Amino acid sequence: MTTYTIGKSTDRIDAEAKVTGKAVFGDDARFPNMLYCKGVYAEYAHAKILSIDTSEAEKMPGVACVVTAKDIPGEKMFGELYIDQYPIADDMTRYLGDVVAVVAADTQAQANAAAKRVKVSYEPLPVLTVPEAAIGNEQVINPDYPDNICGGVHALKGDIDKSLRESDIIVEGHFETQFVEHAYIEPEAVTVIPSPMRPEVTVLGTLQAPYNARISIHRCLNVPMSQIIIRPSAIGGSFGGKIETAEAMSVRASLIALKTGRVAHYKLTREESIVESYKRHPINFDLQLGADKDGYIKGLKVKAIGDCGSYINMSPPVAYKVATLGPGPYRMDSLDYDCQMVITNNNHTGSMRGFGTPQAIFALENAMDMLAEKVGISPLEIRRRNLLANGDVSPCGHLLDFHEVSIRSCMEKAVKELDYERKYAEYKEQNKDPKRRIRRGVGIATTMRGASVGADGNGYDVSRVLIEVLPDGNVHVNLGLVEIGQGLRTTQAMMAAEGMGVSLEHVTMGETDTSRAPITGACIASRGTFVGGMAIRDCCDKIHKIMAEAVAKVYKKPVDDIVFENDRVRFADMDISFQDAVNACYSCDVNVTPTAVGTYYVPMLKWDGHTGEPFYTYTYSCHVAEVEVDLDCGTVEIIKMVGCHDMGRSINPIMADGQIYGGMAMAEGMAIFEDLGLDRKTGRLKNTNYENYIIPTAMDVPENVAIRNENPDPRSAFGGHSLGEPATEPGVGAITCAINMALGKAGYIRSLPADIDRVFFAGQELFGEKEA
Amino acid sequence: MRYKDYYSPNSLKEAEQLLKELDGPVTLLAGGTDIMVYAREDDRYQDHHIINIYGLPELQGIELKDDCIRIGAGVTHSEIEQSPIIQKYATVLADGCRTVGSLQIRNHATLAGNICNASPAADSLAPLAVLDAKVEVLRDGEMVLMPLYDVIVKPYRTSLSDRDLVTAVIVRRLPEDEITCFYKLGRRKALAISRMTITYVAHKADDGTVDDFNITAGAIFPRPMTFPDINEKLLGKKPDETILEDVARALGNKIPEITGIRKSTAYKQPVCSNLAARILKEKLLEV
Repeated sequence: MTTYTIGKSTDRIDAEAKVTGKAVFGDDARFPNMLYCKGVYAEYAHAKILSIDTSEAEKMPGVACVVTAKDIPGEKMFGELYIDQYPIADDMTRYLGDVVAVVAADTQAQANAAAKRVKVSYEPLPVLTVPEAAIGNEQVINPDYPDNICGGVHALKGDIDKSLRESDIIVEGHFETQFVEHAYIEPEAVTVIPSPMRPEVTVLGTLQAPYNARISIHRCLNVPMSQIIIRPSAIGGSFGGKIETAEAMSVRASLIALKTGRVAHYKLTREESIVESYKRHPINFDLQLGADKDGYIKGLKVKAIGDCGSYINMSPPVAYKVATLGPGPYRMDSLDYDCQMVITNNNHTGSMRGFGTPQAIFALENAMDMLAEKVGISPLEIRRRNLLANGDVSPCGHLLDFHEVSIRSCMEKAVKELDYERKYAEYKEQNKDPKRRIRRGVGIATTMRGASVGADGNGYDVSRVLIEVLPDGNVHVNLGLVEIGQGLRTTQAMMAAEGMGVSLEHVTMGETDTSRAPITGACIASRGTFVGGMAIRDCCDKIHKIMAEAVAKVYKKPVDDIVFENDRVRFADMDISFQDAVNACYSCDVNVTPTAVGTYYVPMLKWDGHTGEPFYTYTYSCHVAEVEVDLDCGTVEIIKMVGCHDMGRSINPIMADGQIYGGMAMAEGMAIFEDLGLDRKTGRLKNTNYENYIIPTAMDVPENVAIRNENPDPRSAFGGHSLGEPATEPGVGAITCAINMALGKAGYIRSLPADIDRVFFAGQELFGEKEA
Repeated sequence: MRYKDYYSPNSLKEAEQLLKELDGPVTLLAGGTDIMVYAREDDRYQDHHIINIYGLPELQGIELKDDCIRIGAGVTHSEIEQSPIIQKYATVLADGCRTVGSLQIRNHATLAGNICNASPAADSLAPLAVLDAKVEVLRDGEMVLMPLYDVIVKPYRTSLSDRDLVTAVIVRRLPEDEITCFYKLGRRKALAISRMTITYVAHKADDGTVDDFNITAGAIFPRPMTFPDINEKLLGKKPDETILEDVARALGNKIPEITGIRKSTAYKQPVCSNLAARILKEKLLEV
């Protein structure tokens, strides 16, 4: 496929506004007579709310109103898939991030001061913070789920008992992962502008899922959907994190705006953001991996328990991805992967880059290394023996005969770049010395990532776009899949240029606006480029048909062979400019409108609840990492990481590389630094700002290498499928495998993060006594 | 930030005058990299007069004297880190200041501010301790010289009153051939609060025996301390592995001795000894 725009590194269309500081982010919005909001947070992670006294707060200077759940005219709860989240806690608090009242005042300082005067009386209830203890506990958090289990997925293929029985080697392990904060640079902020004309609100701010926010406001405040206009601002990072929390804030601020008739501005401090926002799921895995004596996998059995926290949020679909993608890109006769999600009084957990797989891959890849150790072969060799190839059946039962199953070449390119084989042999030899204090290790992790939502969202995986070709030849795109820092706006523009057959300078991108861009699913699940591209392709085809009709009339030539390419339109013996074709549409004797809505939905996938085709297509990825571990103090230094990904086709290579670099850095944080300091007695988080919640700085990220291993996917409009989440999901596995190699024992550290304390004590356990 | 009122005197004299005349609590602002953070946490300064002494000309400058170095209270971490005098005659202090926070913080935060904040994790304190630092304080119109140990009494507490104004810090001038070492252990490489720092200065006589030695650890003890009993182990001797390991072990043992056994002791004590042994051997063993 010859391309004119896609596949060529292109500057981001928002680059200049962002680097010059002109871009308007969530907290930048300012309007005359604007109110500032402040939430009052729960004092107990689990308690009955006996009464809320707002009278004193209401009398404070500058206060316009104080709202509680009683002021919500519609339904008290919202949710994307499960309606169980309270934008303002009603009768109970379920975690410490619940907001029980919101104060609005003329200034932020006045709102802050008044918020302290809201008096709430509680009857504390037992606080459940350990999922295993919450299962079947007499203390029920959500009465709809009397055993505190909110859902799960059980992927099954073959006869697991038989496979394990026939295995020569079975490795077993218990793995644990932690809560992880998205750590977007910009905390949540929304601004709601009420219409003076009708019950209508325009919501600006950090909204990753504008159409879902519209539903939530509609549901809770009884405003017609058409009169809820969502216009996300420039968003300073999201990683899946600016959905439910920002929606809850939008409901609260809309309530205040409608009540007062004034613009309501509501932002969270960093501490509030960390306390209130949902996190990456902590998941505990009990894993059994069976193989023959040469290391060929026969079966994988996993029991995984995830902490869904106070609200269900995205937990069942996260369980779906854990169970279907957690088995990795390996051949196996049978699979029994059971992932359950448990309600607790911790922060709720939801969408975050990877959606369950960084955790599952961490467990699986360390088990793979344990298997290699038992067989007596290298981690590279065990993977060579088991990775999927063209025509294989995936662990969940999907016959992979429709695209290039490139996981082997991804791995080979990545290990070559790191010089893995030489380093593995060298470090393995060095690490035999028990006195050696500074040790190196290398690690590999491979993944296959289902593009977009998957079979558990059959029928809901839709995208829509509105494209208008204007009289000046300008192709104007309105697409509600949001730019959240990943560069999607630029990618969309490039695909629209390619699809329409014009150069990029003829394409303009409307700011996301739900009153302008047709309803589309959210920018989640690494689907923005994939499903957005498909909708753009459909839309361009429709507009081409309209334009073909017009030029046929004007030029009186057959148009069966019409081609739109590179700003030219060719048909019969004609070769006219795109502008000429546009002129034909708008000419007074033709008058057709070169405007259309494109729609795409992922085909219905065969999935019987346990096995089948869990996804439509896949991205293959491999990360390799080299680390240095200092046993004297437990520090881990990442020396180098290589990320090799088959994203189908990279629409904008330089941005694809950026995704990969960022993904590796994010994995580094989860692997060796990040810890919210959850107090299991109270459900309180200790590390609520970046002084204490440690994420990698630029100084901690080495000179990583991104490799694109492109095999355009026939199941995607422009050949590209997914990269956002694949860029981060193998990293934690690769890093921890490398650390465990440095420690000389595969799968030794099985809990995250592998921070300085954990690594130091591991070193003491392994080598301490021999020294003394 | 909530405060009672704000003054920005142009000279030390004006600042002194304000301290004399104002009623009620005073907070001296000398960079603000701690104060601004505290003010965001709560309203602790709402009744305070804030006097900004940052940039006062009398508090600037690093002067080399015969046996000491005088560092103005308003000197920033970046200035110390880049000062040829400090680099040559008090290297360990330049090394300590270089690891503080981020470049932006180092460009703004002052050494005296760091002392007055008295955070046990302040990276400059252990180097100051091994340099026998003294703090020059303007108190009731007079200059008083106090050992650093007497200024910082416990974490986040000094013996200074809110009318005392630190004007300078005076440290030992080391011989040019002094061996110095500053090691920082943080959870990451920048913007890291120290988990531990270890620092020492040592000098070898012509016969290879150590005639000057002072070692301590930072982010460990409640106040900047040095340990003559540990230093004695090496003074007058030729360093060998056994002695250096003994010194390192003794430093680690100070942790439970001084702070009591805490949850973190299981990590800090062995790590302190491990790292101390490593950095002592690196620079003091004959090759």
